[in-house]
Amino acid sequence: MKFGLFYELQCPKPLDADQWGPEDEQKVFMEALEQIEFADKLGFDYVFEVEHDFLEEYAHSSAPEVVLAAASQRTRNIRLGHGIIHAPPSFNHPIRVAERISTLDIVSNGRVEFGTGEGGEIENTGFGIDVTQKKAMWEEATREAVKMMVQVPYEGYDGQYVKVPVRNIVPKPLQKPHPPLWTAASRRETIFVAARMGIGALGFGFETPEEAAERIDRYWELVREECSPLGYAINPAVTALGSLMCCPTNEEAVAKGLRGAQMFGFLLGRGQRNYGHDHFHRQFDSLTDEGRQQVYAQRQGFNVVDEEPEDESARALYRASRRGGFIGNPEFIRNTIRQYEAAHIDLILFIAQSGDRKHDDIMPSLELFAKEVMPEFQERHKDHRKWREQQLDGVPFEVNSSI
Amino acid sequence: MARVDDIRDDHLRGLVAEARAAYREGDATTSVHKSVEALLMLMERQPDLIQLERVPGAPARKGYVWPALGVKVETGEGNSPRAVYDREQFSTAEAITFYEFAVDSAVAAGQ
Repeated sequence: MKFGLFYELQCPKPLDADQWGPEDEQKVFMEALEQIEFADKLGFDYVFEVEHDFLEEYAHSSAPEVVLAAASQRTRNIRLGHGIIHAPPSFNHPIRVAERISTLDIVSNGRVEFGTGEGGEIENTGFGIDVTQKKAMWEEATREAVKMMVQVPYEGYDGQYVKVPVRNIVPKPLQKPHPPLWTAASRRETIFVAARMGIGALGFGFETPEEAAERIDRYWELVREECSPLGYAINPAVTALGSLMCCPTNEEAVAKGLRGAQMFGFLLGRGQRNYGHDHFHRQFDSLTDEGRQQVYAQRQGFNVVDEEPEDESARALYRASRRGGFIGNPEFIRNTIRQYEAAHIDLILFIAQSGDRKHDDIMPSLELFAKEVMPEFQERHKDHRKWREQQLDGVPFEVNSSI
Repeated sequence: MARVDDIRDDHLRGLVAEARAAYREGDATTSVHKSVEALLMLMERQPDLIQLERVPGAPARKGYVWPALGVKVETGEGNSPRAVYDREQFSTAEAITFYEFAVDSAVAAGQ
């Protein structure tokens, strides 16, 4: 079991103003870099950063390659993950993706994890992309970007969405044949697409240990039986995501961490927007406690219900805005992680920076987690590696996973 | 976890198995057509099983929501559901998505 941090770079507007002050966004970015630097020293294995456009307050991480480049110069060991890059070419042309990934891999001394995805509706339509074709665009553009990192020269491609003549795309990445591949897998079927293509699945659905176990069984079965790799090497891996606040007592953790988780769910669930004028922080602040527990329901299309929704998207919002298994004292969190460990999850990504959580609460939370929770799982990681080797027995592809 | 062998109806299971074979052979477009054929058959038998799109204000989930990936379904009163393809080519990822959706839907429907 490995551990990482996951960043949206959430930037709630100040409650006493209609817009951010000149330094509000900068504060979020600089604090995140401090947290990543600290996490590296504490022994966290990964940091993954999203790419989102236009999602005010929820995610100001629209240029993750810049933040990860900055992080690369402040850290030594932590692996730097794109979780994910929007692959449809109108967002990021595959040539530029290949060039940027390779450059980041060079300046980070080979620490890049290359995740791609499709983007949401607000983002795709903002870039003039037909959302019904985004999955096909993702596949074609990702495949070609990977080829560009490997082939000398790149053979060129005349596809449906990518048309590039023969060129040599430079630089090439330090990791050979290319950095490990990941994709965003918010939904169950996307995990199985990833397995069939030999790609790591970044599970963004807030899956329970039981759901994770079922999906992991099927994922590895598909890797063994149906894998047709998208890249030149496979990265069989499945992650889970959750909100982290580790404090000496459960009460303190809930007091410092629950509101941030609720706000994450609230911001994630915003549907229609009045761009530039919405003030989601105020909307959230005006909710009752019960309202904050039901924030997922405020997403357009879902009614308030008392039980977990069956729909996967609604369920992720429902879970995101609850305490979950990683807001508590070390013992509480340890017990939750043991369940994921039994399910053979490779990596848990923690949302530490979330909503209006305070940097001064996040830093000691990371430290306490690293000191009190992480060691036993790091100790047992060798057992997980053996299990992975058994799963991969007979799989005829090169594996370049960093797990 | 639903699997193709869990589908009881022979014809339905045959269509889904053909969809699987097609994407494994690299023919994603044929695979999508086979899965969609299976899904139309299911919708004819159980019209409430599949939502064609998310409906604002609808309950969290009544049924499975049709993948918005370039195939629309038209239904009219008393008419069988009919697929309208927005394009001629589909990708492997799309084929797998329709395949998984077809298997899940068929097993959930008890077919």
